[in-house]
Amino acid sequence: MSKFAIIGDSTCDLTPELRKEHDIDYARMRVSWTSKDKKEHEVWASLDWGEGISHKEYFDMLASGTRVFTSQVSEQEYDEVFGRHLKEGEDVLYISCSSALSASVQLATRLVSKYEKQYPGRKVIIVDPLNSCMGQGMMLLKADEMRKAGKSIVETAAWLEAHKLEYNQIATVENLTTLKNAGRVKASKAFFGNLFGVKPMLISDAKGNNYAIEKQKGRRNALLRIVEMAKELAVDPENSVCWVSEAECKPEDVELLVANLKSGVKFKEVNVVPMGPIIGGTTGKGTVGVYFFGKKVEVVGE
Amino acid sequence: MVTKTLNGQTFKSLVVSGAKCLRDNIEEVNNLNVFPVPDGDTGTNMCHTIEGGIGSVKGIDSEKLSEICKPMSGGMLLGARGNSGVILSQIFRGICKGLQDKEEATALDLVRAYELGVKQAYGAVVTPVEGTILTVFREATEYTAEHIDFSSTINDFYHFHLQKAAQSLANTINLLPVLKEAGVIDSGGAGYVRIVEGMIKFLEGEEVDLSFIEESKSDTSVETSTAVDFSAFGPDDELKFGYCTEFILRLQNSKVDIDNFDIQEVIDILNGDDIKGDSIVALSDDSVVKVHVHTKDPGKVLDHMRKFGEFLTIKIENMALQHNEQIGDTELEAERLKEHKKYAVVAVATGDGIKQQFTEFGVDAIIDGGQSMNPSTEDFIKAFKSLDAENIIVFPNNKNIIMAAKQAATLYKGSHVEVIGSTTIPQCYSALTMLDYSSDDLTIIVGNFKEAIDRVSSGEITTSIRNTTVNKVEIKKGDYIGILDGKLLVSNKEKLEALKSLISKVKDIDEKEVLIILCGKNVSEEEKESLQEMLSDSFPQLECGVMDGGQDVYDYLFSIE
Repeated sequence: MSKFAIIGDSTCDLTPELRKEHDIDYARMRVSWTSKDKKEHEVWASLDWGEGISHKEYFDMLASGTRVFTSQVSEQEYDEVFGRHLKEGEDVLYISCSSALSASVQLATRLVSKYEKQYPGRKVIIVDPLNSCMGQGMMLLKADEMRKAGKSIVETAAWLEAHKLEYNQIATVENLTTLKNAGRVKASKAFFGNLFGVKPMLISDAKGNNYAIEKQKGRRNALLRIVEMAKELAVDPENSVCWVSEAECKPEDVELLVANLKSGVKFKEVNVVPMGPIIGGTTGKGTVGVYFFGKKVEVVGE
Repeated sequence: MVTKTLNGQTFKSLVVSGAKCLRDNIEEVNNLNVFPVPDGDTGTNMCHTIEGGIGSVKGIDSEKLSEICKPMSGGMLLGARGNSGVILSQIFRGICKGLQDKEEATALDLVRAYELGVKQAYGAVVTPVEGTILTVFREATEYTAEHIDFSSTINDFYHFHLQKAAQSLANTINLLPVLKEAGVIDSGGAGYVRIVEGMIKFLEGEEVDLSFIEESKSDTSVETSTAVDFSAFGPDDELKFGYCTEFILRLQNSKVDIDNFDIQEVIDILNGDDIKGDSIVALSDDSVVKVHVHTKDPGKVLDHMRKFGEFLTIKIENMALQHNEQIGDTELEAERLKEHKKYAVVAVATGDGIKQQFTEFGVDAIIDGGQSMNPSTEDFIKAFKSLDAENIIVFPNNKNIIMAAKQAATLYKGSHVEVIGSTTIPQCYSALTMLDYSSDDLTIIVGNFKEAIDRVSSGEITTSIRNTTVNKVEIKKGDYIGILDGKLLVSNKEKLEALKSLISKVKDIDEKEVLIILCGKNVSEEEKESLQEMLSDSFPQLECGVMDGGQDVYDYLFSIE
């Protein structure tokens, strides 16, 4: 088996179980906010949800109007996470958060020469997936699949580079407040002109931005539209896994979505994971994204 | 006076006398409203329409029918408001077509002209409904045709016509179930009967003069001219806005082939480099061409146009001068702000809150109007002219306004105009939230709007002005009544109870997700709080938005989808 480490970061939505099963490590970003009692909080953007705030508490807090600030992976964190694998003689394949959403990947790219000097003979390869959440997560899982199949780090990285735009995202949010506060979604000016009852359909575009490509009226319509779009875009769904990332949605919404993805698109498997704190922090409670391998994304947001 | 023939001046007097009789009975016609709501306006609409026709022939002294009929018909087309108004304008369009080749007409000629009127009016309505002005006019025309021969006088013609029209009107109550239940006759038909009565009064010797129109106009019209302020354009001023140039041209057989004349030729010249015209509206009706254009060189326009015919009237005004306080201001304002757009939206609305929100949602021009104030075809054309857009999408927001909007769309040649069949403000509100031009495909944009409208149920809460029974709902004067998608379903002494019960009656209410309520101008802050409370208690599954609409008459307007 090829000996290389696969590393993601706080936006990849891989649960502790999935990371363990697939031997995937991750570098953490940080989140901070001011609570209602005026206290400043800053914690690791952990995908384990064990550090002081639960998934539910976090998204309830966002729903109550608290704005969170996120920070990219620090040099220290990269030193620590990359270092522990390089030290062991492993090469590092880092699949980062989309460069359009986080500057982490730029910092990591600058650090490559430092690590190669520090650990002679070791390779650090970075793939910018132009995606986040389970889009990024699925590429990390794919890397493990290729690693297990005996592919080298170079072959694996090359395949992911060639196919990254085939990882599709279709997401929607329940409430536009967090989205508007954070201002992280691209959309034309008229799009958010009036928002009442309107749900944007968010894709990860060809430049890695979350882009509001169209709008739907009402939650149910938005969820069903995800299924319709997935049906149009998925490639060979009968033999592939579809992932759903969700941020404390109503259970019936998730059930409706999963049931329709199974019956309507006929994915072999539909798995649900909790959405991470970084992307979820800009889209809010009730965000749900569907990720699958499909047609190449060519749309570029305005 | 008993006459065997009708000439231009007699016809004009007949119409003037008919219009006066309608004006004298305007309230009676307005009050023939199916719902007990104080917003009936059929009489007003029909008056505006017929007076539009009279305005166009006021100064024409010709005895020839041919010289009266065309401008009369054109004036009515532009003045048409409301469904009955548009139908009336089409009736007269047909009649005028039948008379315009003649200098004088006999009673038999009138029969044929009126038959053309029937054809024209039925043809203009997509789905003609019996029990309306259409029926009254058609039956009266058919009956008259059976009783008129070569020996009949014009007086005979109108005598038979009125006799049957009145009978037919009384019978409308049996033809339309909604009329029967409300216990009223059709308002458009009633307006028409008043017009015929007026015509007969003239034949019986009553004098006609036009003063009643001037009187009625002086209260309401915004076109009342004020003195022109010549100082607005001084010796050193530069000609910035050019001249508003309007004229009516008579195409000449010696110059063009009138039957195959294409108005596009005129538009191309006005658009061309030589003239560089702006705000172009060009309409043609047989041999008459009516043009409005803003240009810096009106002389060239006139030279070019004489290739086609000779002028009937010309008006050229320096646009830097305020010829009229209101119109002048808005026109100039529009000139300054005008920005070329691929798509633009025009919506009819009333209520400050609603208008403001529509503007925020991306509506480019708002026409003031609604149930009790239907805008005319000309109002639509003015709004279209105020925009520089390739495609204009129109939301009439009232079923009585759709026809005038469609008529304007057909007449206006400056842009491609699509009329969305929105019949309520809430429908439009809901459709506008889905405004998205990013597809850059008119079919998709319009399709999305239509889809949005079809999804919405619209409701209205207002106060009843009389005791009555509608749809088996017993109503007491002063009760709050609830109308859902045009059907009166609820009556209650309590406003919020009426609203709650109306919302509950929405089909598949459990599957609805979004409710938007527009509060009327008399809804207090306190009441809005109780409203919010009622909504979250009674309809917890709905995402509810309560907005200030500022509208009259209706305490609440809502859309639910």
